[in-house]
Amino acid sequence: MLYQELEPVGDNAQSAARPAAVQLTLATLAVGTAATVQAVQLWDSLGDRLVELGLTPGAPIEVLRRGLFGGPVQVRIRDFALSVNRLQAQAIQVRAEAVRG
Amino acid sequence: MAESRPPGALEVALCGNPNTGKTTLYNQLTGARAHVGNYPGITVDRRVGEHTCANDSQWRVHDLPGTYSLTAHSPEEEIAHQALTGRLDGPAPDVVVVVLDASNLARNLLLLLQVAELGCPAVAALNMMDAAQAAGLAVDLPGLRQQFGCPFVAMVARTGQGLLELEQAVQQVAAQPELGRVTPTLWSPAVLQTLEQIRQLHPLLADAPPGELLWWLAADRLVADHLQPGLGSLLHAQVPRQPQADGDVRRLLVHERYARIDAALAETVRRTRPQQRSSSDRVDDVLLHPVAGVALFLVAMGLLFQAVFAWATPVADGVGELMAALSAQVQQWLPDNLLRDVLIDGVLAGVGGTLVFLPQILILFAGIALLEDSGYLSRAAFLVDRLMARAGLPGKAFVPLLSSHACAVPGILAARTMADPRDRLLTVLIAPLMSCSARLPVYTLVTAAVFSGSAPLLGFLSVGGLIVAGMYILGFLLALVAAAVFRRTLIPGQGAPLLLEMPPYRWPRPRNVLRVLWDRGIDFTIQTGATIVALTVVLWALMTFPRQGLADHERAALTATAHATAAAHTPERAKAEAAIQARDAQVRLENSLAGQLGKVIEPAIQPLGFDWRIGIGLVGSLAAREVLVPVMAQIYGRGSQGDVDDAFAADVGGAMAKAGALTPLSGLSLMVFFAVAMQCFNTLATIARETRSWRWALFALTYLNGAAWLLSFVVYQTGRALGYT
Repeated sequence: MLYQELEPVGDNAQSAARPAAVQLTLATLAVGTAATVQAVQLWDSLGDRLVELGLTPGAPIEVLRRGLFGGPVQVRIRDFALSVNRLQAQAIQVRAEAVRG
Repeated sequence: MAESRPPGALEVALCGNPNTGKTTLYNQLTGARAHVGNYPGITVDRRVGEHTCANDSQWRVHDLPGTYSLTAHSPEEEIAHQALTGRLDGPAPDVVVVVLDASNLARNLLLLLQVAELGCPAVAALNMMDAAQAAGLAVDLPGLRQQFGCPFVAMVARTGQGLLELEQAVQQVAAQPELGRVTPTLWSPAVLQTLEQIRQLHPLLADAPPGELLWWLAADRLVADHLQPGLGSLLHAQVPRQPQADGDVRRLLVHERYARIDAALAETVRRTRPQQRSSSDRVDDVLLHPVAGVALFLVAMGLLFQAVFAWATPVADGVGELMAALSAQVQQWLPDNLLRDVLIDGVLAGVGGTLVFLPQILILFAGIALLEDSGYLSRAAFLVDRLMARAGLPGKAFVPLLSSHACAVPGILAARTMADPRDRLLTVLIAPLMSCSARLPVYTLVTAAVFSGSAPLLGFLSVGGLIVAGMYILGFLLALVAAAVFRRTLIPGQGAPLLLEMPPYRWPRPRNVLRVLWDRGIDFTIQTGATIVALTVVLWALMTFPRQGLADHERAALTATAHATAAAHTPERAKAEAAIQARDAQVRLENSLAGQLGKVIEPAIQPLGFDWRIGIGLVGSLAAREVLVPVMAQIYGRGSQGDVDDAFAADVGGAMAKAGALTPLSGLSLMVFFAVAMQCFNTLATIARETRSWRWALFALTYLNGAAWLLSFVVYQTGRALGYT
């Protein structure tokens, strides 16, 4: 699922209308996938707080688990566990690390 | 800082991220003999204590609130910033000890850099070194000192390991502040240009050191405006946000600090073995599991509620008996006069009325302290966040609202676990809507009187039971509605979005738990208790004066009848005399100010189906809702009984129904009124204390009682329109 989102395949009829690569966010990143932070697209004090907590570009990040019914997302960032809710997760852009296996 | 300062004592501030063991270090230093108070206007705990070093020098230790940053995005950060820059109510500290979690250095070092930028001489205390070593981290202390410039001390605050080294480092820095200077970060040209640009904007910034410029640039606009009118707005107008990943200079400040930290840590921290999943991660796999985690959460909350609701009762009853015994003693010691009455029915009743909450409060806070100290409270908030968010409430509002079903007083106090003041206010305002245990005697009175005869629905569901359950649901639904309305009007915004650090699980420390209990218990007993006693005395006066009982000729006539119908020293005579006493008490109450008040408010409550007698009951139930029962007993001549049990409530309700004062319809209306109204001045006093404002307390009183009146009105008038009486 993850890699489909990254690189829409040619035989997908909708792919032409879509941007070349769908931006991956914490809301769409699969649990357990290693990734790095690209940008925190929240330009208020909450976004500043997330950056101060260590979500700087290039920092390794991993989704540990998701809450029930579209609940919060728990991530590991800089050696600690942090929960953010779904809206925030959608604004945190990430890049998945190179495809393994 | 406001207190007397011992001559020569060093002012040492402790600063650090939450969950770094900062408070443990503080307790080690001061022996926890702390002056605990609150910062003005907000419920952020403030602790100042004394420490005597091994070489007899004295420190005054200030435990600053735990913060991730100093850019003033929260009240805690604002306090920490003001204290560090000497803006609070005393001088800036001589030395700042920045407590760092050794296993989580990057984020902790960000705070060290910010502290240093403010110009504070710093000592870095690397706490929980044992845990870091156990996790396979090797930290090069001299290397860190070389990278950052200030002393680094390895510690295990829990055991006191490293305390001596910390004392020495702090004393060295106090003697030579330059030893505690952190090497400044090498900023990129973009940052340096912006700093020069803002330097021209304001005379205050013209000669400021670079670190101060950095703070002003990053600070929250409103907070900056508050410190220096207009400056925050000016900075945000002149240096607007640039919503691109690497174009925003405020973001660059953080990115560049982290870049420096990451480079320094690459040189100084080494993993001796590959990173493994921690035991906390494995526990989380169960406790945050969609099925098992939710089930365990329900069990934990069920236990907590059971403890507050049921286990506190015997202790509370004991307190009641103790106060009754004390009252009896006072009654014997003092002659029968007004002073005795005000002591017993005003002051002692108020003290008892305060102490009776203590068992619930202490049990609830013991539970919360265990949950918080172990790290579970953050997990619980994670589990229910989605559910609560639908009502605009944060996950952490769950525990206060749950415990409010036992009693709103401890529930409101529990709202302190929420960091955001707006979330706290919202929770406090809706907590009284949860049907508390004091409403039960009232529900019993009504259901026993007017619904006990109804045939069970479907053969087994008692109508009374269903209606009582309906009251619980009514309160809960109204709370959700009220929360949604307040979020859109009075307390706008989404509240603090969930942004939780999940601390590693730890065994709760008994000393911490006891400390919380002691602090909360004392605070409630003294601060809130004073208000409760004062209000109890006022209510006593209302229900006592002008002390006009049976007129002499009426009493004489009644006595004559009694003498004529029953011989002396027979049970009949005693019964007749008791009846005269009851009649006298009844007349006194009717003639009292409260009685007159009941008659005055009758036009207002008549549309709800209540007569002036119930009006007196409403006045009396201000002390506690269940007081409605003894007050109505007095009015209907059913005598008095210290302990309000179900049988007594049913008896009084029966008398009311027989007199025609209570019909199924007016009974339902009365239950709805009690379910919604805030008639309990203990809750009122607690709201005033917790929000630091009588305005919010009076607001809660108005909106809850207004809603209660409206709903009862709708129930009663609809019922009448449908042909019920």
